[in-house]
Amino acid sequence: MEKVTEPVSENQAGSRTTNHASEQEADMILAAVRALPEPYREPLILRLVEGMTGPEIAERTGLTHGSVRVNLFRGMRLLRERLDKAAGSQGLSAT
Amino acid sequence: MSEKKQPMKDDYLWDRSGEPDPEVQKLETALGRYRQNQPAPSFEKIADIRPVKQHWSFLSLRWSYQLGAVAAIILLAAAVFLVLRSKPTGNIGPSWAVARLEGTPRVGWHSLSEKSGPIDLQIGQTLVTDSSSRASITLDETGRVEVDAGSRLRLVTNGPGRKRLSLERGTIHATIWAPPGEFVVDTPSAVAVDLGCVYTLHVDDSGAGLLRTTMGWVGFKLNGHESFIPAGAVCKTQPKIGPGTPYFEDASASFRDALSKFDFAATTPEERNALLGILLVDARKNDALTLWHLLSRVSEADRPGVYDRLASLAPAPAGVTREGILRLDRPMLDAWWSSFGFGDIYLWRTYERDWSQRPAADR
Repeated sequence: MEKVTEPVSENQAGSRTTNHASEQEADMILAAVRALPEPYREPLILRLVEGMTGPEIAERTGLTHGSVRVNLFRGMRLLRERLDKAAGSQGLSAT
Repeated sequence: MSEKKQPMKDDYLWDRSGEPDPEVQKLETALGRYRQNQPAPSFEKIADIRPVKQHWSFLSLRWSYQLGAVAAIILLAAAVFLVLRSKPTGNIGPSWAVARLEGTPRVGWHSLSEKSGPIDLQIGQTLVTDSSSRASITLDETGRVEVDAGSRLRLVTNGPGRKRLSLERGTIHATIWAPPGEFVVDTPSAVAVDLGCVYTLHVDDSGAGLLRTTMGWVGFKLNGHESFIPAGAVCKTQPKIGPGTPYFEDASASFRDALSKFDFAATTPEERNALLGILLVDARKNDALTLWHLLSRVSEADRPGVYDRLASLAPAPAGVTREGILRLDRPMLDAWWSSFGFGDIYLWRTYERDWSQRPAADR
């Protein structure tokens, strides 16, 4: 017997669109983190992706607490700048 | 007097203590999806898998030797056959997974319908989207590319540290997290080299293209013509000419129009001279991007004028001299570029390879 596909409701379609948008946003943020200079990239990935705390990152990387804290702070500041800049140019649509 | 520890403004970022920072929380939520959720294998479980003790009789041992010898010969013959038969394809990395976003995109002979799961894009295969379909291709270690309707995108190479697609027609939106310089896209008139970014690339039926960078920056090159496109800027490219001069989209209409004609339409020195005049007069501080590129694209006679205008908008940093720039001294040009804050050109010089050479199989 042939399977009948249920029509997609507006809510479902809306939720798919939302999921797709948040997936895109997450991809973009990850790309921005990966594009950061080396000293900031690893601590921020461990903090924001893996959910580790600063002391855990220090233990894992062998860096001092002070270095990790500074790298997290500076990396976060640079990431904010880049994301703000990207948000500013998001209005540009594809040709 | 007892000292009370004052909370620092990055306490939440440091160890989640203190007042939660909404921006950090948002990033945690967005990026948490990439967390490695697989628990590490437990040693006890691995240790429990012990080999079953076998009791071999003399006869079975002899048989096992004979069977082993036969198996070894078969394996050796198969290996020799495969080595002699194999051709290098460049397809030695993990596969790009193609997923349908809308309509019925095609990969080779396969059509992706609503019920289809993702399929792999093999070397040499083309992903085709018609006027009502869209697709995405993803490679975990490299990035994600969304392919708009009316596009043809081919996978050229997929080796470790070297991913190359060819956009023959249409539009792609690339979000790349691979290290800079690993991911490139050929178009009929230029090669786009990713330097850690998000960008859109469009190619029309004539082979002309337009690259628009949303984040980071992209190198666009062909046959020695190089253009660097930072976030917020675009660059056109034309068959037989290559990449034009990049510019910010908020430049004045007369500036953009003059630049387009200067790059692709002007045929006589007089025409170019007149257009250059418009560009120099209309340039704003941000248009240092365009003037820097023009330094190496104008005639020797016109270069001092470009230098002077650029220096008035963005003074040259220490160590960069007029004489050096007029003779196109590369380290000085690079130092000037890096002072603009669009991205350190060291990235490009470090990661640039001879991407403008098309692979032999592609010629």
